[in-house]
Amino acid sequence: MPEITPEQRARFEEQGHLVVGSLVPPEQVVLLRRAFEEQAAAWAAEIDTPLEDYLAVVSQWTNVWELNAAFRAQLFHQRAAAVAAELIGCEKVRVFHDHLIVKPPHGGATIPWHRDLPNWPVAEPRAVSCWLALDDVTPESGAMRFMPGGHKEPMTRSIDFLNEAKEWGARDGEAVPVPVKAGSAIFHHCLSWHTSPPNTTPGWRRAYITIYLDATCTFDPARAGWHPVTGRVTVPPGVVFNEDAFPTLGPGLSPALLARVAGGAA
Amino acid sequence: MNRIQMYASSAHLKHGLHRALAVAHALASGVEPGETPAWWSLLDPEERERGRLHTLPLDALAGGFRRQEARAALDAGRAVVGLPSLDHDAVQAAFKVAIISSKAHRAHLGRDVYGSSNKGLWDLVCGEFGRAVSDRYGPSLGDDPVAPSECAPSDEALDALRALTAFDTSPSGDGHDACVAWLTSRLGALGFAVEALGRDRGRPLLVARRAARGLGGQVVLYGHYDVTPYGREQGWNHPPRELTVADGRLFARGVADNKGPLACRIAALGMIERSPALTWILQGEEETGSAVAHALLPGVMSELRPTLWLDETGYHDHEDGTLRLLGRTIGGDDVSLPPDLELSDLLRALRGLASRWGVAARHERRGLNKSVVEGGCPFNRALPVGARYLAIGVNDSGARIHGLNESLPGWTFPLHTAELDVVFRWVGRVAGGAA
Repeated sequence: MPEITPEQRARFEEQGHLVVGSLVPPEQVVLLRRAFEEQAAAWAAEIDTPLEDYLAVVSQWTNVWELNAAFRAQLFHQRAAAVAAELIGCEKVRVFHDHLIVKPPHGGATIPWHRDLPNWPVAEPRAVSCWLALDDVTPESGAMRFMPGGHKEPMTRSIDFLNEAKEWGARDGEAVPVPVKAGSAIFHHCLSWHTSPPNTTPGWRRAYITIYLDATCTFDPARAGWHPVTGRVTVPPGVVFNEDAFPTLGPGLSPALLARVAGGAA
Repeated sequence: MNRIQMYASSAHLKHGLHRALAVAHALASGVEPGETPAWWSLLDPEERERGRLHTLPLDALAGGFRRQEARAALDAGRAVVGLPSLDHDAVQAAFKVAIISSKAHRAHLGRDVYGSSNKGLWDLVCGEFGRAVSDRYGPSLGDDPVAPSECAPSDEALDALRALTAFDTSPSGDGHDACVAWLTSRLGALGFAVEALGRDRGRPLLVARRAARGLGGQVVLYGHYDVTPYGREQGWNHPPRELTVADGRLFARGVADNKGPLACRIAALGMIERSPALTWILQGEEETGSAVAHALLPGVMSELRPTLWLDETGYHDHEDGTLRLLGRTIGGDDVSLPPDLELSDLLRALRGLASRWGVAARHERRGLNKSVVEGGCPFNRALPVGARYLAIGVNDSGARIHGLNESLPGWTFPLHTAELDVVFRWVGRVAGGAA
């Protein structure tokens, strides 16, 4: 049975993003928040830095699923993977990576307009991100903004966040903020243009993002400069990603992976 | 300190911080003759070698930037380019953030907002200062460090030197005419109009003139294409009549005096886009009494009023590469007067540039020592009172000029190319901007 309606799919294809409400229940959100707090404390301790100082600086972590069972369970969330597969239009999806991105109270910075794929060592534009809110997200707390339809524009090179800024000119008014409740998710195309403002509220703005590729996507190291997962790739350019670091999800999962998922969810 | 990028920001940041300290120290340094402490003397003694090599990690750099001497140098250097003093407490706070970011990235790939921690520190220390330095002296001073071991002459410079050393321009040689033809052709290709004077009196004196290319002012360069005899050829470790590159050095008769500096400058002029008006005087009898030059140079030079007179080469200490900055104002009776304020500014900039190669600099108020030149150097003799004189170049004190196994270091070629760019921009500024 499809996870999304034809109307939702049409909206995604037109706009490049789609909100899926209540993707995970409140108790799972609480579990993920607690997992983040435990993990952050461990990371701060690892570099011998007070937690407050650490979280004032560090705001993004990659492949958390390999460290923490709660995030591992979320990564392999059956419905999220199924929605991703339907939006991409593929039979199986492959985990590219996850990341936690947080904006602390009265913190964070503007993430400039950008697209994701030009920063990834992935050849084909057949991927979606599942942006799961762990807090209620408002425009004031750093809600994502999208440029509807931007994913249909031609491929561009990556943006240097420190030195460049995408200017929309008269189109700026078309950008839409997408506030979401905790537990809801924004699925967005790998070529969608998006940005987010700083968090000006006293609350946290935490999001857990999982990136799903069409399982047939191939490695293209020439696409991007440095990327945190490039070192995990063991296949040559032009070949589908290695299963150990980039597992596939969907019908016909291997027993070993199913056991791994089950273990993670326990 | 010319750029910082999102994913390469850590290395660029560290380079930029080193460069800011080195350049600020250079711009604030004195130009009195004698030893001047290198910029890395601002650091704790145990950190100085890594500082010289631009390899200090962030926490060590933070310690360096805490030192009173470093703070004073940074503020003095900023003042030279018209910037206010740093907020040193803010700099230390930015270091703390950047260090946490760096540790998190190394330990567990934790990241800040796409390099913003590094950018914060960069903006405070490097950004505005780097732009101001670049505006005043060009981008070279603030550019990334260069390891001497990874530095060599360009293919163009080597080709030029290979061609020049193949001409036998020793006193009894038969290659002078061919060499003059080659020089005339190469300089012509670089846009010079070349005039050969005194053919009827001896080896011709070449006077090559090129109009300004985007910069005001004028530089007169001097050099010569003749060499001393080859000597006992079996005493050479490499063939003296053809160029050999070995162990980071260039060997052949005349490479140091003066064909190597000549080749370096020819190649450099093909790379540097903007230059003031240039007059390049090349004689062919420096090693045999300079009869033609003594007769004609005073007349040629009396008509010139350049911003700077640049001698045939300059020297580095062979032991550690220290740059000898020979700069002076010409006084009467062959007296060397202190460089004026403008020339002092150039000497400071060249000191800052040399630090990219990890070498110190020492000002010496004198001209090149040409006591061995028969009849004296006609160029130096004809310099007018009040002239600004500079001798910098690719030679080092191990060159064994006129001896067996004459050689040049290779690493100085890229440095001298950058020096010429800095000199030209300085000339343009001193003379009043674009031509």
